Amino acid sequence: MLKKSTSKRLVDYLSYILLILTGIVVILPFVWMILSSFKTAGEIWTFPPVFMPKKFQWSNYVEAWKALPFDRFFINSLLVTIFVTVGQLFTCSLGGYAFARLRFPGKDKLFLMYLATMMIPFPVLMIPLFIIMQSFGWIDTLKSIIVPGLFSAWGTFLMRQFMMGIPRTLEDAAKIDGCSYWRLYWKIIVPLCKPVFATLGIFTFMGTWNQFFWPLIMINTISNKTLPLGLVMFQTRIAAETPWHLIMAASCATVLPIIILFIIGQKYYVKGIVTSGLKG
Amino acid sequence: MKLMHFRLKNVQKEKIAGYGFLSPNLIGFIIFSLIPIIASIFLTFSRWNLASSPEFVGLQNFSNLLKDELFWRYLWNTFYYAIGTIPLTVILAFFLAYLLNRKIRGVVFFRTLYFLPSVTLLVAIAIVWSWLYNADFGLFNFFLGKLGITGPRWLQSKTWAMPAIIIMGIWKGVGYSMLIFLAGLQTIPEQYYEAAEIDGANWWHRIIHITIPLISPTTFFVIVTTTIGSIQGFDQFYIMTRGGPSGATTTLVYYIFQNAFEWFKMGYAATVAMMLFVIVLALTLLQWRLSNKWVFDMGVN
Amino acid sequence: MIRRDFLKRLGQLGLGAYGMSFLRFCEKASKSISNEILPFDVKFPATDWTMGIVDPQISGTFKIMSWESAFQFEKWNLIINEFFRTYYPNIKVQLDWGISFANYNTKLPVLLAGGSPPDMIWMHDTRAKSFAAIDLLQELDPFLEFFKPDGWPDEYYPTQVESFKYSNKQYAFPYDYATGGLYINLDMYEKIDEELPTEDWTFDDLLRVGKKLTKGDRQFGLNLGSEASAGNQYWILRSFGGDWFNENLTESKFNLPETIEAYQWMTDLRWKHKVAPVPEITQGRPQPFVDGVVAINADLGAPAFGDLLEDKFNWTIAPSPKGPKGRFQFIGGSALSIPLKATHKHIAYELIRYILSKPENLEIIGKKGRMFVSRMSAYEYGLPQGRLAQKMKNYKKVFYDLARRDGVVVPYISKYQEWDDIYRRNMEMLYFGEELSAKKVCLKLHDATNRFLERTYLKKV
Repeated sequence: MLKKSTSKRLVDYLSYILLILTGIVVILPFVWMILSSFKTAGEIWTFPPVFMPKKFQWSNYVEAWKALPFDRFFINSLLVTIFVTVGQLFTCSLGGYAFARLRFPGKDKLFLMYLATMMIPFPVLMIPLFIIMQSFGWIDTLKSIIVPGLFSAWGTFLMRQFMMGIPRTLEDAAKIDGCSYWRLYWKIIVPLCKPVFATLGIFTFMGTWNQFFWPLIMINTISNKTLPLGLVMFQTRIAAETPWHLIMAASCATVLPIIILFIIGQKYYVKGIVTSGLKG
Repeated sequence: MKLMHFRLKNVQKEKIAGYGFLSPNLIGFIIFSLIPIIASIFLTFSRWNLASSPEFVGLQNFSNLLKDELFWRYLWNTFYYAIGTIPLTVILAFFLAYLLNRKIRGVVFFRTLYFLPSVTLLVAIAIVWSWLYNADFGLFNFFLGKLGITGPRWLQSKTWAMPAIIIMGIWKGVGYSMLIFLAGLQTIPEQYYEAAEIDGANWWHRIIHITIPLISPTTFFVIVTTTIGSIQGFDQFYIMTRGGPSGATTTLVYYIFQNAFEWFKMGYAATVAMMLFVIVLALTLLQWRLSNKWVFDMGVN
Repeated sequence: MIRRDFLKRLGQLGLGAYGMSFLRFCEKASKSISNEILPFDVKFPATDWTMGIVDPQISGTFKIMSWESAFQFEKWNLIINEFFRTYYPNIKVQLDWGISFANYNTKLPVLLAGGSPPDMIWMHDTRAKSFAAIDLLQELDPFLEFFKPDGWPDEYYPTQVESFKYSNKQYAFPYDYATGGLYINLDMYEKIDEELPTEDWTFDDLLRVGKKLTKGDRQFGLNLGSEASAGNQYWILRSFGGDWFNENLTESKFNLPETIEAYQWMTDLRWKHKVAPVPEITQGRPQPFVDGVVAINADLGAPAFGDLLEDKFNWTIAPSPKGPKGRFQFIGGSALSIPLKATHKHIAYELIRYILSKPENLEIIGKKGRMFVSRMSAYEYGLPQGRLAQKMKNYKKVFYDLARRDGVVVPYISKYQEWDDIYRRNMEMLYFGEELSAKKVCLKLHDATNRFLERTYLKKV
């Protein structure tokens, strides 16, 4: 075994110091939010503000959960997010593969069009999209959030870029063996792309989990609302009356599933998948 | 002759496969993106107050736009925010990803830590940021004060409100880009590094000669998407400053929103959106052209 | 059916903009709904609260959209469910509430424009005219005539009735209102040798006391709010004799010396006399008074504020001051409306009438709500109860009697949101202290307002 050189160890130490220092800065607002979720309504606004709550009010979480049907919101959010995430992984990886590897007429133009759609600000698309949903009779259904979410120019773009980065040699070998494109995609590309799948999975999950504007427009019944819509149900017209301690608590609880998923997703961020693939 | 036939058949097969693979995606793309976009393109030639039918006005919206002092001001604000956030986000994200791609202890912990800002809902975290930025008791000015600097009035100042939102934007966006870089770094074969190490290349050389070129498709992706993302930023302005003070943090997407849903000028909103689209598209095409020079395509080589 | 509707909509959006003939067709289609003469044929037995026009056995979905939040919607829920249980048992009620105010005002236009309007909506005085002006709301007068609510309109708060009129037609039925007054921190006030403010106090009296109550940058004597929020400060402007524009909306009045004087006074409060907290202090904290940072604070009359204060310090309320040109008191409020393209308009009207003129319901709304209900005879339900009543002894005088005498209707014009953006951009210069001369800012705003009025209101005439 090679012994780590001093210069290498120095780099390690340096990285640690850098990581910890930036980590503190990055985490601070977040920690403040968590601490605020344990404060009383009055404590949040004390002047000047205090960092630590006098006494940890665990009851905020219970109170927030009881005040609104958060179990329902949670189930709705989970349903929407799972469908969208799985769907996007499928459609985007297929589309990305086509754009990255296959030659067909109009490919570049189509791809540019995909890119272009990402650049149109959403507010102007909202009403046309609403009318489309209405014609499908999907208003106030979870379908209206799920189905448009199944397709994503962003995800297709992401997949394409990563697949472009994978060496072609493996496929060429398989192609000579007479492998179909589907098998190429399924047996070679998909296993090589695990980190990208994990990335897109995390992003889509997160984006859908936190999606606010579109569900706000589409959903009209309390029992169909998702978590972010539930959070703002605490906001009153007169700002002073808003129970911010409950909003903070509910926000912290909302973030939790994403963090768990993120940590699980880390499993797929293992180096050497490509290497082993190449050797095999 | 037989070989030719074989090739032709292959080309044909590849075409069919290409459309086949794309089709599930394409159908959704046409219904949920293209049609609404075409509708809004038509709206740019009309006046529509959301209530009566749209009224055809030709190019009037465009001529109004050219004369609209606010449009140009907010275009500048939009660029200001984009230029402020993009380079820093990309560079920071790359280095964080590089550091976190090493086999060091607690790597999952650090990755989670940097990713946290991206997952939090803005509604709650915006309040915390407004505390941090408070000129009177905020943490920023507290630390600046320790360094002997009188901190600015951040969100209350026409000069500093935008930088304040830029800092917050970087904070929120860096974890996002970091994760993409991280995934990109995974796809670089280990052998390349090993070979370089045997050749005696130090870590800096390895970054410059292996990592950066090989990760360039990812970098291209990160640059294009952060550009688009920052130009379309809305929530941070809407929640933190409502576009103030005196329009200093009003960006074009905010202006589009105001026109559409507060002033009921849908046609004009669509026009501003289309102008913004043309600008972003031009920028992306430029990046695209340039990318041919620096983006390394494994598939081609 | 669904597909036809889809194509029609697409046409309206896309091709409609191109082909004038097609566009005309669309226009006809939408006209036929908007100008429809409402049928008032009584076919079923009427009750106290239903007209007998709609079959009591009717089934379907009745959609309601409200901005009321988690802990405040309950009262409406009670009343609405009771109504449908009694009079239309087969109707399914779809309640969409807990949409915060800003989001509500985004969602509503999309639903109305997209052609999926709710049957009954919440409406704010700042927005009512802008919706009415583009024909999105049902005119209520035919209903009010056919099935008059008890005491309408004389027993309803006149400023509120007025606020929801456009071109002399009623577009919404007011349900509550709040007026402005002063909240006073007695712990601080007792340390200075002064009487409590009365309605005869002038702005300068208040300034004098405010100076005594100010201690560096930790205790501010007097906070009257931000001049960047137009509607809330209108009463100050009028007290000085200033105004926004003339009645015909042909010219701005921001060049009047009285207008400029009013704004200079507000600005000086903050930047010259330093008795009002600068925006840094109030940013990110909705209630500086509750935090004990401000000694005298102008705010809305709502018993709810009392709840927020708990027992942090002794406090009381007092009337807002009068200016050189008289005494004006802020009034703002909310109402219920029916979208023009709603499905169940008759039921919606019956429901609104039921909610807002049945005495038992007014009691629920008043007591569980945060403000006075708009029916004057029911004012007592809006008064603070129990312990709070002790603290706010002169509540009725400050927030009810004086408001009735001096309440001022804020001229929220039909393009108010658009003008407010111009106003805010200019006035934020003063509020954030980027500019200290009110004259400079007002004259700039004067020109901008005139340009706005010309392009918005003159062209059409």
